[in-house]
Amino acid sequence: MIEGWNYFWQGLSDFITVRTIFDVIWSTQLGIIVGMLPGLTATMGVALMTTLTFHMSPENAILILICMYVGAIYGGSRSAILLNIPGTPANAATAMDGYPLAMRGEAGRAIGISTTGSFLGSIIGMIMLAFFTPLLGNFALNFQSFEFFWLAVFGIVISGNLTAPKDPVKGWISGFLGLFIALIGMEGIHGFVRFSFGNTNLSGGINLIPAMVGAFGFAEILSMMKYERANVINSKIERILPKVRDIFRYRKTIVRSGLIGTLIGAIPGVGEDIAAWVSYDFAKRGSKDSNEFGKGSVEGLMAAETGNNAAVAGAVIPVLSLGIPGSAPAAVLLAAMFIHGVRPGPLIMIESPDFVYKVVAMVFLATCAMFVLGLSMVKYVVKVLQVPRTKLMPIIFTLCVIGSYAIQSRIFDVRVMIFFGILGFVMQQMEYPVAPMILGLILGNMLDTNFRRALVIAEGEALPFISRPICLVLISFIVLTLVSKTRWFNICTTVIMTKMRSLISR
Amino acid sequence: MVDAKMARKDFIASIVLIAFSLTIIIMSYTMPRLERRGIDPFSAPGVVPGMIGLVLLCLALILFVRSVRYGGYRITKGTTDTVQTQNQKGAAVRVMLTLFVSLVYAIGFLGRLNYSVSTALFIFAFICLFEIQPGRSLWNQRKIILFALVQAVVASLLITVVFQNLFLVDLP
Repeated sequence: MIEGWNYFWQGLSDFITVRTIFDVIWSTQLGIIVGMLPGLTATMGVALMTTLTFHMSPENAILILICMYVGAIYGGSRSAILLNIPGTPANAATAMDGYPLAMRGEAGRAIGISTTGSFLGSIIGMIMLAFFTPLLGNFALNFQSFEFFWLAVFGIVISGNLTAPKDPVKGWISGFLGLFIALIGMEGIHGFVRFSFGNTNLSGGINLIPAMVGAFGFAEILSMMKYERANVINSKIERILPKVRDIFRYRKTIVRSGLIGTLIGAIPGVGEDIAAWVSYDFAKRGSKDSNEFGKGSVEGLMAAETGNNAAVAGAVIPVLSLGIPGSAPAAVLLAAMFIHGVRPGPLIMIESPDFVYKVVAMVFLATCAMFVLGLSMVKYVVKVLQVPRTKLMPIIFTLCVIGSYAIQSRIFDVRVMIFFGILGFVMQQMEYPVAPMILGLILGNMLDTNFRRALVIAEGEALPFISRPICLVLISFIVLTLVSKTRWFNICTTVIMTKMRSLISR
Repeated sequence: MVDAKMARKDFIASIVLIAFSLTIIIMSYTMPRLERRGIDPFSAPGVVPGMIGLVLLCLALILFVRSVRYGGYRITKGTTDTVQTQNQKGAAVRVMLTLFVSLVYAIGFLGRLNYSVSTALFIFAFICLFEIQPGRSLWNQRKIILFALVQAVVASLLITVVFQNLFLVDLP
């Protein structure tokens, strides 16, 4: 623990240079602007920024990406409050109470509350990141091929379940489709080329960054261009600094939402939007003024913003400890780490424990920058919302194209981006979530190599897959996730709950 | 509860997915098992793709059965009954236009035409396509055209300079 503190302070002091502070400020501000603009998501921002930081040193590049990530998730609250259009999906719950507050002429107060909530959520997430990453990393050292196989399956199943709550089948289809796409190209055990149809570009596999830029960037451009121009509301922004009374009054909500946000963020492939909704739902259930929710509740706004920003740090926990992303932007972050030669996963606490705490210091710097920038220059920055999408989207598309191309200087990657853009758009229209597909793209190799390796170790026996303790826990989670949406499961839980209540009342 | 429109979409998607997953299964089954190289049959390259194909097939069948239950198979009847609103038609046109102009730039121009020129052309065409109103004369909309031209040239030059000189990217 003390060693961790030392690493953290060492990392933080290394970052306190004029150049780094400058990088932190511009990247966080850019993140806020990206998040603010409907149609530009955090994933897209981090993916595009990965291509721009390609030539930087690993630490600088990852710091900039984390700043962009933290800034974008917070920035989305601005358009949610002022336009009733969430800048990123993570801010959908923010619009529920942020916009009614703005309509009442309290836009400044709403921005102040969302900034403070995001700051506190991010700090709670950061503490959890520092505490749980080493624990999870050390625990994951016990994992063998059997456990990694089940972990990959669990990631797909839970991600599909939570990102498509109305229809988990579509979430699972998306996830398994991603797993299949990951298998295209040369496999990792015997070097055999699969599903390439003689195409040399395909034999190298599908690169994650162009796929993500397409699925989250180009698909979003197509979705945005579907609609006519959004109306910009000129809401008056007065006092932005939050009142201490507001924060102190909702301290329980803040802590609860922070913890929920971090936990949801740490679940593979789920992300900040679900974290915000769950935090909001818990706050509503626990509030004395639950009737106010949806009508401009400060508590609701605080819960949503605390939850989504706590999820940012939460999503980084499995990235560092397991090499599995907690959310879509964290998936890009993971890919960027690989590009820069950092190998996240269970061995990170043995190979480079200082890096884990450097990431904690990066989150801390990004959080501080977000708080300061969030409370200043608001009136000027919100003017960006007035830029028409017809002028913005062609530039974003140009960046998607050159960003995909820049990684390996291949036109093929631009085509991959286009393909995934169209696929992502079609999936959106048919209500298939895109996040499980991207998670599948990341986990595909892990699932493939570990399953076959485990089969060889077990000499084709199925028993080791189901008899090892961690495997059993993961299998029970998977089964529970699969059956949790079935009608008979709901009936059973209702009967059990009713019986328990009657027993307690006796 | 699945509405009729979504059931139709699900029905089509499930058929596509069934065909796709069957193709994966067949291709995985016919994939070499590399026995000549003395490789353990459990580590054959087709094992995992085959397994994923089977899971996808099961999920597609669930989707198929469910869409049939909700009447998704009534394709011809449903499409003739559906009256698209003007807004939906407009949205479809905007998406098709965006797709068309983006594909012309990314697949048609890139690598064939100078990067700066093709980027400027794309930005200019994109803005004009969505901002110029067809009914009005171009002279009355000269401000839009001029602004689009300035934005296209400035953005294209800026992107070229930044990526070529700052990020050292060998532009297409």
